Amino acid sequence: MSDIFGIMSLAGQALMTQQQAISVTSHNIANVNTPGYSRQRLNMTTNIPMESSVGPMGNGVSGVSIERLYDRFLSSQISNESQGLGQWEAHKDAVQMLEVIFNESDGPGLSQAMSKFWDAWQALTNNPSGATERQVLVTASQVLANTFNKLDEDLNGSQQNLDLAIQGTVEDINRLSEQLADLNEKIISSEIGSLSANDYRDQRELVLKELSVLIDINTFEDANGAVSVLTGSGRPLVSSDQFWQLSTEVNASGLQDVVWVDNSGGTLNITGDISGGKLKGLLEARDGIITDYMTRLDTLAGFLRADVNLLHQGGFDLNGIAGEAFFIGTGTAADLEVNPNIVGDLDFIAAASDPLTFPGDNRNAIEIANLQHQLTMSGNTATYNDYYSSVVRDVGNEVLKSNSYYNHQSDMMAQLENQRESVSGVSLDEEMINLIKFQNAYTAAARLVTTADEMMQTIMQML
Amino acid sequence: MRVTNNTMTNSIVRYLTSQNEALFERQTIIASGKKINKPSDDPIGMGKVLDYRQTIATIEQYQTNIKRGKTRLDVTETNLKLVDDLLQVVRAISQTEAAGTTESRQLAAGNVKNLFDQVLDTANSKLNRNYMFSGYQTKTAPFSRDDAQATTLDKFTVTYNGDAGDARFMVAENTEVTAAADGEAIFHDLAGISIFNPMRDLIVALENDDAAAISAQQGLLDQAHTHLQDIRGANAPISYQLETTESHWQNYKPKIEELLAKEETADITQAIVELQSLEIAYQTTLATTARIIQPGLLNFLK
Repeated sequence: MSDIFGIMSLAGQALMTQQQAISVTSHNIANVNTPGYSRQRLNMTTNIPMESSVGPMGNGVSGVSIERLYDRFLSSQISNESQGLGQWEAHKDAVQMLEVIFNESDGPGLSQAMSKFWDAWQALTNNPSGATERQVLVTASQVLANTFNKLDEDLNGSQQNLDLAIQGTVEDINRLSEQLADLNEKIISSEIGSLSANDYRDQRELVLKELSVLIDINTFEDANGAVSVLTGSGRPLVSSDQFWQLSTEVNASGLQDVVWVDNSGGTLNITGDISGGKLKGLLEARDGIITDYMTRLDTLAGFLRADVNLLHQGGFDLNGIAGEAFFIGTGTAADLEVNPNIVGDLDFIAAASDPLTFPGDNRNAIEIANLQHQLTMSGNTATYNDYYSSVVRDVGNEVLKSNSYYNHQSDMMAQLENQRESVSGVSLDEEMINLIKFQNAYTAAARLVTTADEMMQTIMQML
Repeated sequence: MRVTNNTMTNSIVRYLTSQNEALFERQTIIASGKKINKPSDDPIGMGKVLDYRQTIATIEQYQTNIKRGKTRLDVTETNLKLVDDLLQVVRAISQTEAAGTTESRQLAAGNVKNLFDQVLDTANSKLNRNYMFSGYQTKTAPFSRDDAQATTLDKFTVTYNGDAGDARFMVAENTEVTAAADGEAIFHDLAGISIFNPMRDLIVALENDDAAAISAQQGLLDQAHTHLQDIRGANAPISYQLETTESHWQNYKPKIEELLAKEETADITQAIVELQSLEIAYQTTLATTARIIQPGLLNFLK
């Protein structure tokens, strides 16, 4: 039955509903720049119609629920691609650091140091007993050894930096896991009445995205609304309001391994199981790439040292005594050093080929100088310089490849983000229009109240 | 597709960032003058640059070595010529004194003694503080004689103190040029020709007033002269080899330098033109951004 009071209460409900709608709109406007925010919308529906003499009579509007506009599939896509983004970003940064270490474009570097070393041996052949020539050779050799040492030191430094970054990343992962557990708890308790905890869900979405940048994860939502997070290899990180930690421990090479800590405090090494995210990028750079270049540098230093020493020890110095090792050390780039005995007494440089033919015999020096052009490296297919050139070239290619993968991934993320924005993003123009829409409806509903009131007055005046 | 405020701002930030990056790269090229400022700019080019640089440095060293070789050959020739000239004087004396008087022969003996010592000194000459004709024993004088001996014969008998070594110069990859340094083979080969012995025997013959012995030395001195000519002649092809190698490097080096420049040096004009077109694109993006970002419905609502 329709009566004036019915009209009043209908108008009152309309006022409230439009007011609610404006509330939601203002929430959207306020959060236009909030990262990860999904726009919300009040779902209005007509009330249950009442029976009347002229048939079912509409009963006004009420707000049913606040809906969060959000594409679940897009979210999981973004999550997956974030892992690739994190991985290639970390990879790219590490390789660019490598490029700085091996940058020979200015001039001074290992290539030039090797060049000067060979030239010094040649200069010696012109005057094998000359003190100046011998001093020049020793100095050039020391510069060469120091350059090797420094390159190795820089590579080690890079490894240490990556190690620190890995530790930092593990800490971030733990922090995010804890936040997720906390948000899970809040969502479960907010949604008990089967309402949707929209803002908490947005926040949780953001945390999940951050987490997937760092490490490869699998997620699924359970019936209570909580999200469970597992690492790629199946170790739980978050389940309902519980979370597990990752930690680091030192491995055999003195670097950090990533371990998962279970409920009783035991640890499980998951370093080899990580297959995505920033953690993977850092581990790959640290253990794969940098170690590879360190090995190549060591190979070069080792061959150089062995070959020069072999010839030098087969020659004779200015005292007619067989030459000592020219370079000492274990054959790695880190401890390559000119024999201090030779540095202390230049006579020990073995330029002669015969114990009786010093001081004018330069044949051994000639042989050593000719090592420059020998195919000694890579199974006798490359000279020392060829080998090193290929190292520098490979670094350049590594950077190009890394940049290319990162750019591709980054473009894909941008596309996905745009799609997410298109579904969930706030458009101020749209909200403005909605504001006007609801405001007009509010004004009209207010007018309804006034009209009903006037009708009441009219009836009262009839009495 | 529904486009929101964030979609636009995010896209614009991405484009501006990438344009800035391109501008920065061009600036670096112009400032450094080089196309390759890091290995990733052109990995293969970087490898070539390193090779060319090494090649040029090695060629420069070869050029230095060749100069040293040429100097040695020049000085050797000068010395040998001097010895030959001195030998001619001695031969003239032997001819004259074949029919000389006892007194003139005594005087002549004194002359030849002086000439002998001068030849000895020349054979003992140094280059860069190294004896030239001692083989590998460059710190030991090749020839010596003992003035404390009893007889003239013994006084003017020279001993060779060096060895049979030579002087080698690296002129190209695995290629050396060898210059003669064996004083024995040049001046005093006891199994062949000796420069010193005929002179010594002439001195003894002059002092002994022995006309037949004096005449006998003429033939030996002639042989010595021919021997020296042969030695000097043998140096000519070595000198020639040095010359040709030198001009080879002189022609080759600029070509490598050119290749290096092509890989490495930036074409500044081209870089500046590219910079300008990037700048225009950047400014256009900025202007467009300003036009798109600012207006919204709010500006038009009262």
